[in-house]
Amino acid sequence: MVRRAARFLKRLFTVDPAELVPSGQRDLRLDFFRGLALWFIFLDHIPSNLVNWVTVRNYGFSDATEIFIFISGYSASIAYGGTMRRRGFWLATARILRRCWQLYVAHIFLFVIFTAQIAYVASRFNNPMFSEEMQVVDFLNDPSATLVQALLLKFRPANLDILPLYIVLLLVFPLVLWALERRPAWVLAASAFLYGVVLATRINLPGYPPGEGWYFNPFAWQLLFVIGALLGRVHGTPQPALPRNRVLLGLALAYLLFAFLVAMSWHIPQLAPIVPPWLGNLIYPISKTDLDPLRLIHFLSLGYVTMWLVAAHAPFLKCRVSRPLVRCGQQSLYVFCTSILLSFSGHFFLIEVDDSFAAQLAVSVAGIALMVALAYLLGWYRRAERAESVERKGSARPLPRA
Amino acid sequence: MIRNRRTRPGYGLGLAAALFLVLGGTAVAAAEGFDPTTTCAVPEEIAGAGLPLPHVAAKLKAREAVRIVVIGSGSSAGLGASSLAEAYPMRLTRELGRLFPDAKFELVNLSKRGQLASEMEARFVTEVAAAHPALVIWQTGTVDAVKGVDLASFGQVLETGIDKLRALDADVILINSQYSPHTLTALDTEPYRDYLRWAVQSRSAILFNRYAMMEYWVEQGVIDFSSPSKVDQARNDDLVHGCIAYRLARQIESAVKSGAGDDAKE
Repeated sequence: MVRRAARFLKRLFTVDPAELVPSGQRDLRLDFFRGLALWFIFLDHIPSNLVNWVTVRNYGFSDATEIFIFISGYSASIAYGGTMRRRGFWLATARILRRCWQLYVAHIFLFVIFTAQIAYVASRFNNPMFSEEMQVVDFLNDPSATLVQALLLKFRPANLDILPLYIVLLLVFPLVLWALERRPAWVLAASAFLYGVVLATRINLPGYPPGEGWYFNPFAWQLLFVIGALLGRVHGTPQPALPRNRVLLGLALAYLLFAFLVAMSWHIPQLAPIVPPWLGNLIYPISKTDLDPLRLIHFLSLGYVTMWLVAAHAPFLKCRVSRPLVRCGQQSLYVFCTSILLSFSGHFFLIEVDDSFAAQLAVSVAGIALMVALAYLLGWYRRAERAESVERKGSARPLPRA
Repeated sequence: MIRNRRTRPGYGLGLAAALFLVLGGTAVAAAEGFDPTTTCAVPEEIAGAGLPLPHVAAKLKAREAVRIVVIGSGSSAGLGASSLAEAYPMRLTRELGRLFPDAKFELVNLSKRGQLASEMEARFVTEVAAAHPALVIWQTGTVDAVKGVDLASFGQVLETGIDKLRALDADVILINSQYSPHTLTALDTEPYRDYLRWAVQSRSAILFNRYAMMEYWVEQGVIDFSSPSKVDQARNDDLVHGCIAYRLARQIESAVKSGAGDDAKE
């Protein structure tokens, strides 16, 4: 067992890049779980929606953000690692930067829509009882500063934090990928060191208003992205895969159970004695900003158990029921942006028109249906474009994925 | 709101109530012509468990005046209420007077709009101590969330604050943020409420879960913040202040009774 784990680590850190031939088949697990993360992010972004009780954040420390960032690192490594190996550093860098630009434009688009909605609410519902809460929209009074700070990614209203994190992680990714090709162990060590520095000093990128840091501290969250990239790099290569160690599985399950009980104590007063003061003083607050070790370990445990349970070609990934999730995962950028938009609109509908449980359910189902419809539409469009370009070139070589 | 109207007909027939309705309804709730036992009902798990309030119970038993200090930010300073007398702190003494007819309650409201938890905590050993309270009601968290105060230091302030109040020989109730549906997408008070719940739990203080109650009343249609009309807003705001006062009084009553369980059989 230990020998197998050692072999896996050895391969992870010393594999010859020449051996890294990506398998032709997509790993549907990536698409499936990224799609699931997108659905969860949509539901979690509608406040006071009873349907978001189904999402992972209620049953432990980590949430859909961890899934999204890990899979993003994993698939970035698959998508750009091959380009870097075959076509060189500069072309891979150009492709990564083009992706950054797409994400940046998408983020600014969402920012404008968010601001429009907030401005409407602020002008229409200035109830004196909420004047303290309404100070959160004071940024509207100073558009020159707000717009410039938003363009610089320093000002990011609530719920618009994930894309800026993804953008800065991708911006430095060419260098990370370059180093991963040569010294993967050093990259992981450097990444873990930076994470340790954050835990010790709480350094963060500057935000706006002055004094505020990023809600998702990139210096901390990069570790998860790098772990994803490291594992994505050996994706599809022959054995050994991640070792199936029963002791590790037992530890992961025990930790998940512990996190589950602690999370339940937040909602059920009778369970409060589960967290005695000494334990609470030890674990609280569980920082999302700095990716608290409790969250990181929770996600890694969750990932390990999932890997154990779901094989790469598990039949259920291909069945009809899973297809909407897989499709959403395959069009993640567009589906993600649309989901943020839909969660704003859904929340607006709930507070303005009807906030009954039936309405919450209807908004949740309708939002997910629209996300799925968009994913199918984009998939159809991409296939049509590809077919046409193949026809034009007269070759069967598929277009590289952006 | 619909439910509120339905519970009122018995009172609405009176000339005074009718006049208030004609005057735009601003004072309907303020006239106390509403029945809080039905309007302000909440499920048991939100209403709060009856942890003891020994100092309040002792004052009641000795038939001495119970001095209550309320220290909080805007909502405790009366934002939204038609007058300071209709804000929840003053109405709390009236509600308590109804529940404990033989007792005397004195209120000192030290709330100031826009104050952070740390700014309030700095006044505990001076202004709050000078008032010699048997009970301190500390409402906080919203301003800290708006200003994005570091969560760990917010938690630290809560814990030292509760300890300082205890050192004054006072019982402590903490009130969390309001449920504010229109700012939910822009302002996330949840981490601050979570930490407040934890501070209360680890110090065995009492949590008054205002957020959950207001959310429940909105879900049940008892209050409705979706109207932009000033008249509707004023009516809802007075209703909220009235219900908060009633629920606080009920929670204090149940706490006092649970602590008195040893020597007084129910």
